[in-house]
Amino acid sequence: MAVRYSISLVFVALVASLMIISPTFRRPENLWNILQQNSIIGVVSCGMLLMMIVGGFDLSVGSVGAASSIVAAFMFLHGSLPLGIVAALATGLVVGVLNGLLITKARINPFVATLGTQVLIQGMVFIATNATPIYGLPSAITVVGLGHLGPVPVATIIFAAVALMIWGILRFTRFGHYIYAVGGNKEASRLAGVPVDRVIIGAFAIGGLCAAVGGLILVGQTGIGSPAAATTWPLSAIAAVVVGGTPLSGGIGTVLGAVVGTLLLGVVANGLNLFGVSPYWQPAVTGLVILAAVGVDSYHRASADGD
Amino acid sequence: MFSLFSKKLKKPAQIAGLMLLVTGPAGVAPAADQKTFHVGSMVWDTSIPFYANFLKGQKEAAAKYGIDLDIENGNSKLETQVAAVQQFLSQKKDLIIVTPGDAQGIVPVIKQANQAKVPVIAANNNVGEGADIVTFVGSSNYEFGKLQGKLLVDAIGQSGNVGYILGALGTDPQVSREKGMMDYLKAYPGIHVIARQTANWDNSQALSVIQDWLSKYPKGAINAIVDQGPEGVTGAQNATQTGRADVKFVLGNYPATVQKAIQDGIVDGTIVEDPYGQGYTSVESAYYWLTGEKDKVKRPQYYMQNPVITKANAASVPPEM
Repeated sequence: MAVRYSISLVFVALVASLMIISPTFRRPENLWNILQQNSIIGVVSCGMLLMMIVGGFDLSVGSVGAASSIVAAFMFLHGSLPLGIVAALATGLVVGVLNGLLITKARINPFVATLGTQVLIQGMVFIATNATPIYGLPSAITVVGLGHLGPVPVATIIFAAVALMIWGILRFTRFGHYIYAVGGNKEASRLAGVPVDRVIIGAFAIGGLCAAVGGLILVGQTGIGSPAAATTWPLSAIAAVVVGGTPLSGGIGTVLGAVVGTLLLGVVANGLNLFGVSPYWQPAVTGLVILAAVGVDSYHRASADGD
Repeated sequence: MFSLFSKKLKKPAQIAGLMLLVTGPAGVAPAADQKTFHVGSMVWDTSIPFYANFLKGQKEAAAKYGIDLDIENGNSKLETQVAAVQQFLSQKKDLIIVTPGDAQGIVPVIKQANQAKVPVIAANNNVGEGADIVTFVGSSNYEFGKLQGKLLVDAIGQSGNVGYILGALGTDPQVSREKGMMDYLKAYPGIHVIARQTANWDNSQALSVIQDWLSKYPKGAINAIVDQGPEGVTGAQNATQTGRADVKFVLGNYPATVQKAIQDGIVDGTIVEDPYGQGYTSVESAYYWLTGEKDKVKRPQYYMQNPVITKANAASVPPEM
């Protein structure tokens, strides 16, 4: 099982060396900041994990995040707080189910299906808002995105709760076991009586829900409903999950991996900022980190298979 | 994708055209033959909130002057922007207004327009060297950057350490605002830019950058943060909430959240572009150019004023979006 923990070891080694080198990095405030800054993408990655284990992925999570932030902001202003939360989550759920139906019933490849919904939802958001953010939310709402309980950022508590729930689903429920089975071999699962279509739709529904939770935290962070936000979410989340050891081919993957993958990329970004690395170099370094992490992981996996 | 806009637009334009026919030369537009001018406007990314009021200005000017205005979205992609301009050329528009995302990348297709003898006006973002345009209607990002530098000096005095948040790298506002501010700061050798980072015009990214800098630089080690865009407002609020009100904030552009932050004393000042005025003036200039009243079109640059907003005037200047 050395393979499974290799990325965690890389992460621990990176954090440890940064803590030794940089007094700023090891300050508790900075460590809490890193957790807060990566909570949104972490929540989205947890959903992405399910969709990738089942053998797909979702390019529409960014649009869903923007859409749910708009829906939530609108409802906070014209309805109530609980109504806004429910409406935002419903938005994510509906798009997730739609993605699942397109993939299973219409048999559209996940890339094309979710690319389609991504563009569609983004267009609808622009039509609905005239591409203008929704302002004027009560500033109390920023407690969700920027507030703390003791030293712990509220956004991080939400991230932890979502990660725990996804872990529970994968570990303890029949649905979770089916997700691995379908991702590993769809035909064999079907023959074994697994309701393959429902499992895929379920995974994408939860993925959509997670994106909507991300959108809610975003509203809490910025205090606006932002139609043009979240465009980088899909690729950031896919990168985090892949770095965390889940291959695009599906069938395997852990919540711990997705969380570590998210935080690894977050720590790299934080470290580059603290060391004042030029903004021109940062994307290049991030790209190298992704390739190195995935390369080491797949090399280990290949040698493990060879044994 | 945004044909919706042009459909909506045609109606007021047609109504205005009809009114022209009815009222004749006594109407707003004393065009000799009462011809309806067909103008295409390509905006590199209409989804950016800034352009909502820009487009409103273009539409209202088109309605006033009886122009059939066709707005196309460049979707943030150069090839889409080029295709939109080529489409305007094949539709034989009388004039094309472009708001390119990449000043140089748009030059070849503008040269095609030059060859086809279709006049081109650049609005908000300029067209690079090598192609002919009637004029550029917009604010100078270079002047914008200089004004940010002036606000910074007003906020911290003649010396201090500054963190500088950039927009998406390589875009004209990022490049030119940076050049303007750095040129302005040459006269103030006591001011040091100790950190530069991009936030890609994104609130969450700007927040992360600001948090990281406030971790890195304790009280006294950083005096101000300048953001080329308005996205740093969330980070400014966070700084105040976490006991770092010692850091001054100078932002760029002026959405409602920034207006409130300036009134609350969280942000020290910002520079306004006038998107509505730029949009309106671009179409108005197109009208004057096409009707032969060319002396009414300021050339080769038609710079609109960049008002400076501080606590003193924030209440009286409405936000730009």
